[in-house]
Amino acid sequence: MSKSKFLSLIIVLSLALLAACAAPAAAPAAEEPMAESSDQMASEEMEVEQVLIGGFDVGPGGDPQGVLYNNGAGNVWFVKMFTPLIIMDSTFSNHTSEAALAVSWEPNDDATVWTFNLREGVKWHDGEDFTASDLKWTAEFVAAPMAAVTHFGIGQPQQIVGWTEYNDGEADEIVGIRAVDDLTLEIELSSPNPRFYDSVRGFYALPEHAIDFEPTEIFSSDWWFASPIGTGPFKFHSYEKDQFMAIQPNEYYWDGVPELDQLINRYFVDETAAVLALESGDIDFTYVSADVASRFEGNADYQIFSGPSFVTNMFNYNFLNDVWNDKRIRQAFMYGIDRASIISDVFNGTAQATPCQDPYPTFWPADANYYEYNPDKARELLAEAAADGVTLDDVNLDIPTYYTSQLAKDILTVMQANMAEVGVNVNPTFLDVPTWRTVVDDNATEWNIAYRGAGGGPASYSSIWYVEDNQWGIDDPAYVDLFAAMDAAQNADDYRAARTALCKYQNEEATFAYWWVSTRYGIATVDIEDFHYFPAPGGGPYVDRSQDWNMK
Amino acid sequence: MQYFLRRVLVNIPVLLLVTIVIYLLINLAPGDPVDFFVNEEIGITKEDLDFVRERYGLDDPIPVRYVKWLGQVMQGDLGFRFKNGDDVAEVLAVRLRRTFLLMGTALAIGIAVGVTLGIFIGLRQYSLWDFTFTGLSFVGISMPAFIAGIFGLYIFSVKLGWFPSGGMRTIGKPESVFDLMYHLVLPAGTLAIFNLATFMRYTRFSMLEVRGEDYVRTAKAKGLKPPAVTWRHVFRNALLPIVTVVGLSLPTLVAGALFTETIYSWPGMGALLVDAVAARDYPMVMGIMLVTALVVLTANLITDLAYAVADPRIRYE
Repeated sequence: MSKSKFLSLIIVLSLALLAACAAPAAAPAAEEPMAESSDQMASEEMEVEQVLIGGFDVGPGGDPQGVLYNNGAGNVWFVKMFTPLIIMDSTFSNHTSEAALAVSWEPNDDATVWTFNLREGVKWHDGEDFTASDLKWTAEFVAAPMAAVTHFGIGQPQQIVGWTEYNDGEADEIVGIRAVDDLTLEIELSSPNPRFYDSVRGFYALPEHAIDFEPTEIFSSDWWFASPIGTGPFKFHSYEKDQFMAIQPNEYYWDGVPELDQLINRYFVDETAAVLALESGDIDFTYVSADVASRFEGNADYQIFSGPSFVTNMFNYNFLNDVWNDKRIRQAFMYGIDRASIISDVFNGTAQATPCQDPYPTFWPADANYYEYNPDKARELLAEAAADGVTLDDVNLDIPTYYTSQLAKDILTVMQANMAEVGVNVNPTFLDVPTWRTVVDDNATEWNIAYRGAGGGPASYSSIWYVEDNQWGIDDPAYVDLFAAMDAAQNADDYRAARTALCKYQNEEATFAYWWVSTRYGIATVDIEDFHYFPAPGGGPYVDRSQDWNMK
Repeated sequence: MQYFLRRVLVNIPVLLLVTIVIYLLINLAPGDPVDFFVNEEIGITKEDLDFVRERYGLDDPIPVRYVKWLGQVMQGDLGFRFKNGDDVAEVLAVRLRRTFLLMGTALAIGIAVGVTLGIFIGLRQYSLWDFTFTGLSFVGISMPAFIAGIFGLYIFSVKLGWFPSGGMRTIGKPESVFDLMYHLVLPAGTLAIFNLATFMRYTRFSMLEVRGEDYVRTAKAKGLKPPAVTWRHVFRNALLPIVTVVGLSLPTLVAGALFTETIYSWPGMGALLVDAVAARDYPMVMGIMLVTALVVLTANLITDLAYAVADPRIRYE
């Protein structure tokens, strides 16, 4: 072959390869129970009138192309197809759990056995009846040994009788979860928990009759993207990997057939791309960060949805290093950092100062100390501590954080400047989550301060940060008593009082530096009516009544 | 042929070495794959994480894990993603196809237009055309991809509405080559700006250098027509540096372009690599690196072979 022919062959082959890459993907084999094809979609296009396209997995609560029971996020989208046992109210702000699969729930006298009365007439997307057995099966499916599930949908599942034995492979079932009849589920706990109902907000039912994969395949099965079946208002329509998932009305939905003909979740790697898609009219909704939301204010073409993140941003101190056991040092950080200015100037007022780790204002004491900016007081406290031999002089303190947005960088830069003014050198370091976890979780005493967020439920508050074998070495008997009082509370008033007392103590002790709860946003076009979005941690789940959404 | 075989054989230990180095680096980086299962705002216990670590075989020493991985690869199995259980080979096949389309189009435009313009201004040194295109090429080379991407998206999609804001197809419409091309225009155009500017600069420089050679003067002196001088004597000899630059660009066909893919929601290899590294998804990272290393080595070989085609004096004995 001559050289010119060789060159020509290379060029022709390259162009052919390029053309092959441009050709639409081959249709799936006939016997494959795959998603509806594009042509089928196209043939239905004429009938499809109301289509809502959104970036439902954009932002911190999203889990693009995720599956249930993986990492606890993505609930904004999951709740369209699947239904949890109970669900939070539409704004979280009432802190009430509302009916979902269960219409009512009550504990026995000592709150060790909870009875969930299930809704009548609930059907799976394929028309099969939903029963209490599906819930028991789901709990056992995700808790199966070697399933490698880490979020079970039930908070602290070890409190359920027989759960640990089943999870360890020593029992054939979770004896504490019982399907009494088709519409009654009973859960028995090993110790009283008057607020157990708050632990099952993420407990979505899966259909035993329609799942043909093993628990070990829960995160790798094609089922979630080819033939998922739930009890939610929408059922699966089509999916294109890395591009979108489309769902359509579930004609069996117990609360009315959705008005939209199609609801589509388009996947974005980046928030900026989603915002530009919104502005170009390609999508109708996306999560946006606070600085972007301000651009849409006053624009009549868009509606803005906002709400507190219910995630407290805070400095985590490492008490394994003695210096942090000195309350004066901890309080010096509270006085030395101008929180009010950060909230007004950096957040543009879109955050709320918090007195303690609890992100719910319901539990904040009225007389909490918000540590008004007072650099003189900070210097004074540092000097007092130094006189007793506890000093941060000549120490350069890294502040590792996994928040890497420009907003976080601006916040920590202001904090760095504030602390420099009172003579403390801090150095923010912005890391990805795996690196951050290695630094903070695995390096016992090598870190001092970490900037992070912490969430929690309105009726549940884990004690692992403050008592037992907490990883940062807090050894304070007062916390043991405060958490015990909270756990022992038998009614809402007692619980509120006990949780407020805990907040008050955290506030006085400045155990960690509790800063603020920020506001998060979603932007939708005005073309959508009766739309609802709330930027809940992990995306909820919360009541959004997506069956009522419609396009003008 | 002997040269070709020798080069292929030499590449095998190089490839092996590359995989060892990359495997070590990714495993020595802080963090591990189980962190993907942690939602920091919700939390998880250490026991749960240890359980997942054991489930994925991450409690084995690094050398043991590498040997296991290599053994799988030798049998044609690249393994499964930690993140979601996807088959690494299948993911690579899909993503490579998309990236090759994007980068191949951008490269083809860059070569065709860039080399043509390079020849054009190379024959018109210090003319208005030369100054204009040279100036524009500096802009093209200097502008970061994410700036060009955002500008392109904002002007042509948000403001003018001529092109879609990203993705690979219009949702709800039948999949077609035309629709794909429609979605390809902005991202490929953005990437082509850099390629075009680069190839134009190299071609211009190379043309100018060759035009000053004695044999070109001789060709003109013996009465050859200008087109014959340009194509047979100048361009042919100016090709070698251009072939080198094109050869160096070939690996981008599989490596992808992170910023452009991100801004235009084009799910290619660049975005995949970042996602895999962020999740410490070792099988996926290794799969990408293996393919990239293979392409780099192959591209180098093709480039060397292409030299002989471009310049008949070069022989591989």
